[in-house]
Amino acid sequence: MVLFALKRLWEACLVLFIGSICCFLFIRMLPGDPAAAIYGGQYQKLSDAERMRISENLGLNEPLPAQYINWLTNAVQGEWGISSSTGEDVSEVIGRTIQPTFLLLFSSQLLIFLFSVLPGIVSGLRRGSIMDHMVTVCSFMFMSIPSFWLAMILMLFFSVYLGLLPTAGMGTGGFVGQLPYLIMPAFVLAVSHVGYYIRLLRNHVSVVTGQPFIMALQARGISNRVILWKHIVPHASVPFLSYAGASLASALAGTVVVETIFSWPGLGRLTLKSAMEHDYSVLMAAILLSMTAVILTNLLIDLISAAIDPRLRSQMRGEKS
Amino acid sequence: MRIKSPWTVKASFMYLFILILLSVAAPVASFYDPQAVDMGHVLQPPDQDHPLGTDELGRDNWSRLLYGGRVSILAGTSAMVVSIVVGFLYGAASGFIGGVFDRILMRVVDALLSIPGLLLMIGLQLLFKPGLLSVIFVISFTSWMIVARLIRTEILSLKQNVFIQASTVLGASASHLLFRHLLPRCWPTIIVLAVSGISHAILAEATLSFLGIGIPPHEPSWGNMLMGAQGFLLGGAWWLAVFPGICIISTVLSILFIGDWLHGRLTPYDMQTEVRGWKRIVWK
Repeated sequence: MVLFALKRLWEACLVLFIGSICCFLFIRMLPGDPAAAIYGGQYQKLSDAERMRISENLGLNEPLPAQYINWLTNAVQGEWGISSSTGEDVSEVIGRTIQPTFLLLFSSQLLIFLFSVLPGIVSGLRRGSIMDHMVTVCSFMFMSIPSFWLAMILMLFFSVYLGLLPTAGMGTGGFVGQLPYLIMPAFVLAVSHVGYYIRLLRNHVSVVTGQPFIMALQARGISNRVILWKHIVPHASVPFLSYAGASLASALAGTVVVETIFSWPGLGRLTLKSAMEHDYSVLMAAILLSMTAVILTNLLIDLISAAIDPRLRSQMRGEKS
Repeated sequence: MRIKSPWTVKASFMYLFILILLSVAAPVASFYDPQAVDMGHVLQPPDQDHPLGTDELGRDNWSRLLYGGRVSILAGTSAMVVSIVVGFLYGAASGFIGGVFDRILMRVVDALLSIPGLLLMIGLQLLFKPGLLSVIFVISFTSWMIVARLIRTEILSLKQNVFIQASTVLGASASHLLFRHLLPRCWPTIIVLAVSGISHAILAEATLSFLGIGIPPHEPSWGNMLMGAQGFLLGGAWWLAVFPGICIISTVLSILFIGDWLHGRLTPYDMQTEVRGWKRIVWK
């Protein structure tokens, strides 16, 4: 297990390293001189000698690998530079948005589990039944609704016609005060994922039910309920869990849309705003932060899955399971 | 996997056929120029003159929907083709060559997959002038990774086959192996990926346009029609939001149904029978 964890950790570090190189090259590809971005409009007025000196001071004349190392050291120490649109420290701007986004992601994840576990298991057990068809059609429906459209329609219905829920902002006064603001964004964010989770769970449940060991259990006269909860569900929960990690990336992408529509002061809205305002330092920090979050979450989930399922550990060591 | 009652699939094919027909014949099937401004008929609800109403500049909603369908279909299919071709070549190279090369290539895929797709799209879009071409490029750039990963797995398992070893012994070149033996056996995976790729690309195009970084607003597309509708929704102009939304949903839904059906057809699992056994023994 320790060996597995170390191997997985090394892999995650490698992925982080490659990802950060991609991000760095990407910054260099963006239009505009990094020096010009710091000095703003004044940069045009400077003489060539002064510009040379500035690039020298910023380390822009060094070879690219050295620049990358400088950039990375700053990034790791939390020195992301200054936001060009507000003039604040980037780490401060980003720091403010993490808690709202986390709250949103967490509550939508809760809704996903609430809405997908039961239909997934039922339609997986009773494949081909009317119930299964209904669940399938519904889950495809959920997958094909664009989240921004759903957000608009919900807003129209619940805020404009019924006047029940607020349309924008985050509210104040702790969780109870924020709840009405949270309901619609969390729901919209959950809906598109619910479809995928149901499909995934259905497929895995039906694969597990086809395994010989289930038939062996039946032959020994074990009751359906025990087979279902003690054998089928734990088996199907491992891929379910690993999908939860993989879907964090798309959930983070979803927050961009949802937070923008509902004016939720989170990371996603900040990303889009900084892209629109060409605030590259904030944009880069947001992308790098999301990437790190995704990689670390996947690492954690892999470790948990390996703790649950010994077959994964032996697979990782290259043995035949 | 497979939906038993194929009426959903038939209906999906029918719908997509009509959609493609109408979009191709948009100049004939629309009664107005999609960009013609008519300030005398602003924000009209659906009536005889304008069957689906008009928008804030008096442009006909129906005509704009048809022309928007062109954009969606074009963006969806071309982004899919590009991402499949790139993903196949990358994945095949990685799985075929193997070793350290494979490991590095796959870690790059992991890294790119760790960046949320939409953030990557937003970042990339800054490099280009907004328009159909850049949207296609950005979407395909962010969706080839999954294709590459699945194709690599497929190639790795196919490589174990004896007939591959036999042709290697007989002196077959790498390109012969790849395109004569491995590619034909990847077709089922590629077709399923292609279908889901189109639905992904259509949704991505709509999202980008909705966020205002996709197709520029004067050219109609379902996404930016919805972006335009946002401001007038609270004033009660429901027809601006509902119809493009229905178009996106029904198109993506049809493609999902077809993809699911193809997946069931093309992947040789005999789970169907085993599950029936479970049902017979346990639940009755």
